[in-house]
Amino acid sequence: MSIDPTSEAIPTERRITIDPITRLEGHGRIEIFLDQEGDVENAYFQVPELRGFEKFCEGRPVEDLAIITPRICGVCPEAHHMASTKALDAVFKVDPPPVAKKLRELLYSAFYVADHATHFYALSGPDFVVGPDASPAERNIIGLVHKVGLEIGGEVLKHLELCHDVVAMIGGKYIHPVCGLPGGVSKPITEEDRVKIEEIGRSAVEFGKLSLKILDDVVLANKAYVDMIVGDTFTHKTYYMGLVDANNKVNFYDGMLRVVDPEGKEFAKFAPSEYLEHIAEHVEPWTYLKFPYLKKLGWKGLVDGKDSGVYRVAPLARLNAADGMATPLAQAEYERMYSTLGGKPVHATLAMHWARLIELLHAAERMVELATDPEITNPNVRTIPSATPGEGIGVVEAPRGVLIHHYHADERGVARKINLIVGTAHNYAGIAMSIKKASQGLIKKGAVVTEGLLNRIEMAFRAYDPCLACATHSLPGQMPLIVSIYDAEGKMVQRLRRG
Amino acid sequence: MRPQLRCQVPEGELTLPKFYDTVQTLAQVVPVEYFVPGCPPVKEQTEAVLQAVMEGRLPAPGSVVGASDRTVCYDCTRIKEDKRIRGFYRPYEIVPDSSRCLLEQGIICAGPATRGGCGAPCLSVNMPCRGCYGPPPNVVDQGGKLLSALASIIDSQDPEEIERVADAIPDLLGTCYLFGLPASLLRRVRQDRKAFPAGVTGELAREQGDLAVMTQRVP
Repeated sequence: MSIDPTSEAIPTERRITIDPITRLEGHGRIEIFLDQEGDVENAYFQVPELRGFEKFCEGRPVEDLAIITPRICGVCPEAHHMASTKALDAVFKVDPPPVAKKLRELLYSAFYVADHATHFYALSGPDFVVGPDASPAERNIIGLVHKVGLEIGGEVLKHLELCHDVVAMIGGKYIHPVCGLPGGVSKPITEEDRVKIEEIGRSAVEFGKLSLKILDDVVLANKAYVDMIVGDTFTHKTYYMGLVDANNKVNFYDGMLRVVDPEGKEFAKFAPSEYLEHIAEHVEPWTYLKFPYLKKLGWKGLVDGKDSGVYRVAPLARLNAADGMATPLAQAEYERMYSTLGGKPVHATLAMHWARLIELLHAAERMVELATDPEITNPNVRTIPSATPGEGIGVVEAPRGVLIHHYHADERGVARKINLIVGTAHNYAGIAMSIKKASQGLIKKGAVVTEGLLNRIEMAFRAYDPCLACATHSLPGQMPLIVSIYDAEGKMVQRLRRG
Repeated sequence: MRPQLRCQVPEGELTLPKFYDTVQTLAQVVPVEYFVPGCPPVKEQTEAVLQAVMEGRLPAPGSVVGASDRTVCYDCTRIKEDKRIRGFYRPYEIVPDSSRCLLEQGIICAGPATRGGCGAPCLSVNMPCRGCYGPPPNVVDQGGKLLSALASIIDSQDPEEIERVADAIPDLLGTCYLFGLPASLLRRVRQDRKAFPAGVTGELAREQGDLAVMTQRVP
């Protein structure tokens, strides 16, 4: 979506339009309507695009979906590759050798460290570390590096690169890996690779600890930030969904889907292949993205609470939906977060950032566990499928939440029907509610909207880790964002522009 | 209920953009100064391009930068011998020899029809090139080039056998044009396939026929 900043469209409503918003998967638009008093009457978060992957994948050799679907996103292609590969295992009814599953999870853990670090340091970090009221020229990763020091900035970049190296070692390409096949992975790793990966994993654990320390020093030590995090403006009481292992601990690669209610009690636990019994999707005429909701509760609109079918996914939801972390250092941090924020579940959307760093540490610890697994260099990484292809469902936890790939293939292994539900879709209702609530809390009596205020509204959706386009399009802080503010007579009173 | 281009909500009207029936390349919509191929470009090439920008060493506008002038086969270190095959395999069906050319083992690899410079990372994990760097210099139609390369290595003159070999790969056209269909001569797949050269049968032949027909239409 491109907007001509010089165009003077004739305003017809008392509305604030934020279009395009970036740093999320694809395009988004926020329409804020003001009432006669200049307060926020309603806010709509529209997704004005449709990529069409589910349609144009029809008729393709089904194994190609592991190559095509990662192109949905340049930031989390590994998540699509993994969900797709797992769906292909199911389509071909083949169980990969144990080492193949471990190699997939190892790649995935390295990816998680890099992805969560990208979000914390490049996207959300500047809001906290540099400050929500700082000018966009400073509120970016360069400003962040300036604030925390070159040494820490160097650590961030180093670990992004090292973790991508691990992805490339196993997956071939460090963006859009290609190693996943029904029945395993395409290549084993050597002892030489393993030694390198173990070393990177150990370094990543230290990096995870450092990141949590930065959160402590910069964010948690600042009372104003803590008040903002736990304040009502950024809070929604919803259901939460996440993958858990056999001990109900957080798992990114495999397990059962568990849902807890707004009080933290288990509401449902099911195999990912049964998702259609639990999740349905609601369509609104003003957006191309559907709203998933809990089928048993039904769609009650964009409202939170125990009677609403709205649930949320992604880091905080995963931690809320699980009983703990499967690795020791992350578990200690998990306990510390909940004791600091007053017990489970935590409904404060901005606590998502804290949860994300705990997950980063978990992923790093998991890298070390897998890299030191005695069978990780086992060359037996493939099981050749022999059954007739059919239907298959693959689920992983993408950094942005539960990712479901569901394929129907014919007997020749040709894709006939595809359904994909991505993390941001599960969170759509949550994001929409968060934007509305933040707008209502922050825009009062038609007050002039400042950059800082605008940024706080954006923080409501940024917490959900919208995918960034920065890697290929623009640097953080150069967000092509235009906000037009109109008074009750429809006259434009202010235009803010970034980029 | 379906998404609507215009929709009345209690507070006012919301709009959504409509869709076009054609996918266009970037250069078909806006002037492009330089083309950096790859989905995505590898980091070494991105670095090289940035370096060139900083040092003011860019070639004439409209050029391809950040890639080589040869095909992926030149980046690939596998042993390449006789390309005569009697059947295609899908990647999950066999465990190929990791030291030999994948095409020679019957796995469709877009290397011969794809611009190099990536260092062949997919081949390094025993998976075929899928063509993400686009066509090599002087090739307009990447998929057509790959189809022709595939046709030339099938070790048979028997139409029925050729048909059997090509039919091992469903949607051969989609496989060959995985990247860059909007930039091809083909542009889009027609729903009705009538005209193709007499005496040629099989999926491969039909698609080559399509290609020939479409090519003739493009001035």
